[in-house]
Amino acid sequence: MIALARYLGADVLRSQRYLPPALLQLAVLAVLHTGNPDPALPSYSITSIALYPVGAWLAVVCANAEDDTLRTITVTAAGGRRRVAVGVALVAGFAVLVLALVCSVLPAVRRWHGWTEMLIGLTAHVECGLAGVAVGLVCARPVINRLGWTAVAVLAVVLLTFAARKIPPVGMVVWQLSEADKGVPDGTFAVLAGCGAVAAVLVAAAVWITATVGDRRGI
Amino acid sequence: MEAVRKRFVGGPVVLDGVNLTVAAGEVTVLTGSNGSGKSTLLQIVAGLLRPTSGRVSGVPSRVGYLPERFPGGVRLSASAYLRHMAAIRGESAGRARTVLARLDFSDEIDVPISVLSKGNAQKVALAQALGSESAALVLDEPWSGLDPSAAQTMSTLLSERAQAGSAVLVTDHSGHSTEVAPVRPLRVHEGKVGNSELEPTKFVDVMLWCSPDLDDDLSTVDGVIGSRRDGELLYLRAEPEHSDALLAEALGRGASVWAVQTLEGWT
Repeated sequence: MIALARYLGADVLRSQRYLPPALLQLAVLAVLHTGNPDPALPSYSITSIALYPVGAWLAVVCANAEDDTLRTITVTAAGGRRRVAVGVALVAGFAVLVLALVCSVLPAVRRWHGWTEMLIGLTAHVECGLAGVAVGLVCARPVINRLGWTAVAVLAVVLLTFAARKIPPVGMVVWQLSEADKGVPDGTFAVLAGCGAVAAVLVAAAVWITATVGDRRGI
Repeated sequence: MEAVRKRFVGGPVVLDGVNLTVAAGEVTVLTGSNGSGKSTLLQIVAGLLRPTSGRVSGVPSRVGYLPERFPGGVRLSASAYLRHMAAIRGESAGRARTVLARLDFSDEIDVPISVLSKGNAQKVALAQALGSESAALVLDEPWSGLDPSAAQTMSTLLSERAQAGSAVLVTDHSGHSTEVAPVRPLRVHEGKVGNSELEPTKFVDVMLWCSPDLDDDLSTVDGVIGSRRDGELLYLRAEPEHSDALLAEALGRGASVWAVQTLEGWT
C-alpha cells in the first residue's frame, strides 16, 4: 500500500495540479494572520473551514491525476480498485495533513497559546480536510468523469454543508472553535472525537463508492 | 469464465453468454473484428470490470495487464514507472528491464514516457506487464506498434512465459500470434467466443488504384476472401495460390497495383 501511495503521490507531484489548492489555503492563512491575530481557536476555525473545500479540491486532483487507461494498469498491479481507491485517499489525506500542520503550527510559532490549543487546531484542520477529501473522492472520477460537473458537484456539497451550519464534522468543529473567546470551551474534546469518527467513516464510504462505481464502469 | 454477459448502462450487449477457459501453459489468442467484445472480455478477466451476469473464477488477484492503447501523456520516466509498478506488485524491476532490453528499447530510459516514440512507449507498457511475476498475463494487442524484429521477440517472450507455466490471454489483429507456441486461437464474434480452434493461414493483401466499376469484376475473382474500397483505392484479400491470377486480372482490366503484402492470420 505504501508503494502504491508513493507512485500515486509521485504522479500528483509531477502534475503540479496540487499547487492551486495548496496556495489558496496558504493565502487564507497569510491574510488571516496579517496584523493582529484573533484568539487561537477562532482563527483556527477559519483556516479549518477553508481546508474543507481545499481538501475536496486536493482529492479531485489525486483521483483525476492518472489517465483512465493508465489507471487500469495500476489497478491490475495493485490487485483491485479498492486498494487504488485507498491509495488515492492516502495521498489526498497526506496532503491535507501537511497543510493542517502548516496551518496549526505556524500561527503557534508566531504567537504561542499552548500545546492544547495547537493540537486542537491540528485535529480540527485534519477533520475538516478529511471531510473535504471524502467529498472530493465521490465527485471525481470514476463517479463524475467531467471536470466541469465535478467542480459544480463539489461546490454544491460545500455550500450545502455551510448552509446546514452545525452538522458534523465540519460545521460542528468550526462552530465549537469559533465560539471560544478565551481558553478551551467545555466539550471540545468530545466534539473533536465524535467529528473525527464521522470524518473517518465519510472517507471510508467515499473509498467504497469510488471502487464500486469503477468496477461497474471499467474506469 | 461461465455464461458471462456484459452490458454497459444504456448501451448494447457487448458479451452474450461467454464460456472460456484459459489454461496455464499455453497462449490463448482471441481474434475478431473491431467491436466484437475482445477488449471488454480481457478487462473482465483482468478484474477491471464486473460482468452483468455470469461467473469468473481462478484468476489471480494481480495479473500482468496491457491495455489496448498505452496513453501518451505519462509524466514519469520509463525507469521510474517500471520501478513503481514492480514495487506495487512487491517485486523488483529487474525482470521488466530485461524485457525492455530484449524488445530493443532504443530511447533514454530516464526521460518522461510522454516524449518517447509510440513504439518505445508500447515497449515500456509491455515491460511492465511481462515483467510481473504473476501467473496470468492479459494482453490487449501486444504486437501493436512494434517493428518486425521487436514483434518477433514479443512472440518468443509469450511462448517462453506459456512454456514456464503461465496462463496467457491475448488479442491479436496482426497475425503475429501464429508465431507463438503452444497456442489456442479462438474467434470472438458478436459477443460470443467460438468453440472450435482456428487454423493458421497465409493470405495476400493487394492494394489497387482503380475506378469503382471494377469492384464487382475483381472481388469475384477466385480466391478473393475480402474487399474494401476507400476512395480511389480498392483493398483485396486473397488466398496465396490465387494472388498471381488476381494481379494479372487486375492489371489486364487497367487497375494499377500500389502494394502487395503477404500476411499470416487465423481462419
